[in-house]
Amino acid sequence: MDELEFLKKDWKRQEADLPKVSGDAIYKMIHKRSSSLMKWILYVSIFEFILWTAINILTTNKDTWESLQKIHLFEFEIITLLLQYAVLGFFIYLFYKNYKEVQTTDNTRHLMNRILKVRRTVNFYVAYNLILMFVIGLVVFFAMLFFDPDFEKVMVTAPDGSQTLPLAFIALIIGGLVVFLFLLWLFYKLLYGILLKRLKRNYKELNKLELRD
Amino acid sequence: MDPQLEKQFVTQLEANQNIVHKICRLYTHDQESHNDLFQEITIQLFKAYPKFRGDSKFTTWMYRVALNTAITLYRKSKRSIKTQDYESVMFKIVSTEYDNTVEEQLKLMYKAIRQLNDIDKALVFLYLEDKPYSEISETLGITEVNARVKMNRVKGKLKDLLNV
Repeated sequence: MDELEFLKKDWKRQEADLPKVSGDAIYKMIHKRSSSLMKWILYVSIFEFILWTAINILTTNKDTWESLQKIHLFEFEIITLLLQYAVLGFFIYLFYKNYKEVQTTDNTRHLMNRILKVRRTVNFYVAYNLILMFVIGLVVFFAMLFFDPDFEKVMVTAPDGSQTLPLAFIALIIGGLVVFLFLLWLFYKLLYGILLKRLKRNYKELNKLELRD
Repeated sequence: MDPQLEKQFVTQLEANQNIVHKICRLYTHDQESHNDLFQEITIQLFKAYPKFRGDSKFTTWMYRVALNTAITLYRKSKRSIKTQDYESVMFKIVSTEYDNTVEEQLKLMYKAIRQLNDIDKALVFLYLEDKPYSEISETLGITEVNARVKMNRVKGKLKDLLNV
């Protein structure tokens, strides 16, 4: 006989042995806080939105405004700042919309897909920030190179009289930027690796058959 | 939420709590996580309850939300240690009609099922609950044909696990 058919019979008998939770206990439970994956994703995402916005605000104080003016980047900074807020608003809207669409009453595959979509929204926001950071870093670097008088001190004069930056200096700046971005990427890999590992594995398992159709 | 609706929910869940307990037994390894998952499923069911329109059976709706919570939303709050104790409480062989060989075989089968991955467990669970393939496929979001194919593979996997 099919083993599972055999088990099915015993399965029904198991019911007699199951624990019983009283109605009062259920009452108490429904008013407790959920600690589901979605709660975690929500908290982490809100934290990220705040963190990246805070980094933007904190890095632009009066001194930076003045030094930016000195290197002719004042307008550039204003435009990027406005862009930042517009993009932040857009991402928060998108996040909220996707978050609301996560329903436990959906089928399992659909639910997983929706959760991954919510995560992807925030991932895009982070990627956008990283790219922007990189671009701003480069622009500031070149602007300083051309307009910052202090920069001349670092320059070395070649025998033919032309001034160049020492290679080690360029390598240091670019290397520092790359290491910083790599660490940030690693941190995200780790954070979401832990949060979403099980979900991704299960989603793959469910999709394995469906995608072949 | 409307207290009347709250009362209605508690009554319905209390009467059908077996479904949730069975899922907890499949997806957790100790009593503490069993209670933990039971609570999380209860919260998720309650959250989704206002949208339950009664056009499907309460239990059908429950299977879906409870399994979704166990498979996708539940996060173990603490590192759970598998205790020998719980294993024996878990699926007690309740009938005295069985002889030793049958009992041993049943124990092995329950053990094998607990070794399956989350999705396969859900399939076996719905199958043992006597759900038709149409409902299994709707709950998991795969086609009926694929639900059958997958179930056959799980049966094969179980056979392998039992023979080891």
